[in-house]
Amino acid sequence: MTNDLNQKIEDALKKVAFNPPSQNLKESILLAANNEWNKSEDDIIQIQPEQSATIPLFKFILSMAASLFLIFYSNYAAQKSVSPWKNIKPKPATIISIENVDISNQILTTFYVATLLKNKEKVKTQYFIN
Amino acid sequence: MSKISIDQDILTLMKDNNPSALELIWDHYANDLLTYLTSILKSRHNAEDVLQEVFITIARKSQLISKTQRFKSYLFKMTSNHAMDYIRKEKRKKSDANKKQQYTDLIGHSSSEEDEIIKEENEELINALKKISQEQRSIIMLKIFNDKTFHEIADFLNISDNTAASRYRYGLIKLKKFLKGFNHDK
Repeated sequence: MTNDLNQKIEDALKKVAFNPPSQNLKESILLAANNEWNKSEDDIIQIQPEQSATIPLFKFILSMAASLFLIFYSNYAAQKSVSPWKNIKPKPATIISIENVDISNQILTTFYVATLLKNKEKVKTQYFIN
Repeated sequence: MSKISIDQDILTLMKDNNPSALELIWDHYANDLLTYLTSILKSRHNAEDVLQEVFITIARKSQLISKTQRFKSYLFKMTSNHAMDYIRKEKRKKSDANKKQQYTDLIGHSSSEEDEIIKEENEELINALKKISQEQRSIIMLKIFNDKTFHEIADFLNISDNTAASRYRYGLIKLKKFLKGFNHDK
C-alpha cells in the first residue's frame, strides 16, 4: 500500500518536466565566466607586494611594537641589572630620540635609548633592528 | 566517458589555465547544479542567478580549484555555499517580490499550452515539494528530475548511499502528508 503510494508520487513527479538550462543561459553565463577567467590573470599580476597597502602598515606596527618592547625591556634591565653601579639606583629609561625610521624599505632602523643614572652619567645604548 | 575521467580532464584544463574547462563543467554538471540550486532556493530564477555566481567563482579560483582531489564534491559544496549566501542576502532584503514565487519558479519558464495544463495539475505536488526539508527536496529532485542514481547523488553531496536513499524515502513520506489528494485514490 505504502509502496503503491510512493510509486504514485514518483510517477506524478516524473510528469513534472524540469526544464534543463537554456542555450541562452549557457551562453550568457559562460561569457561572464570567461571574462572573469581573463581578469583573474590580470589580478594575479596586480597583486605585488609594493602595491599592497597592508605591508607598509604591517611594517609600521611591527616597528612600533619592537620599539615599545625595547623601551620596556631596557627599563626592566636597568632596574634588575647587577652592574658596577648596583648601588646606584637607576631611573627609568628615557627615550632621547627615534631616528632613521625607514619603514617602507626595511632599512636599518635605529633607536637610541638612553638610561639616565642618578650620578648624571648618561649611558647611551644603541639598538639595531633589521 | 566516466565522470571520474571528466573530472580529471576539467582539473587538467584548469591547471593549464584553459577556460574551455568552463564549457566542460557546464556540459556535465550545469543541469544537476541547476536542479540542486532550485531545490535549495525554491526558485528557478534565483537558481540561475546563483549558477552564474558559481561559474564566475570557478573562473576566478581556477588555479585553487585545480588542486582539489574530489572536484565533484567540491563543486556541489561550493554551489551549496553560494546558495546559502544568497538566502542570507535575500533574508536581509526581505523583498516582497520573493513572496510571489510561483510554480514556474521551480521548474523553469515554459510557454506551451501542454505545459500550462501539467502546471495546473501538479501545482499541489510542487507546493508540497517546497514544504519538505531542503536535503530531502534536493535528493528527490535530483533523483526524479535528473534521473540520478542514489550513488551519483551521494557522490555529489558527499554523503553515503544509504543516507541518500533514506532521505529520499523520508522525503516521499513527508510529501504524502502534504498531498491530501494522494491519500485518496486520485
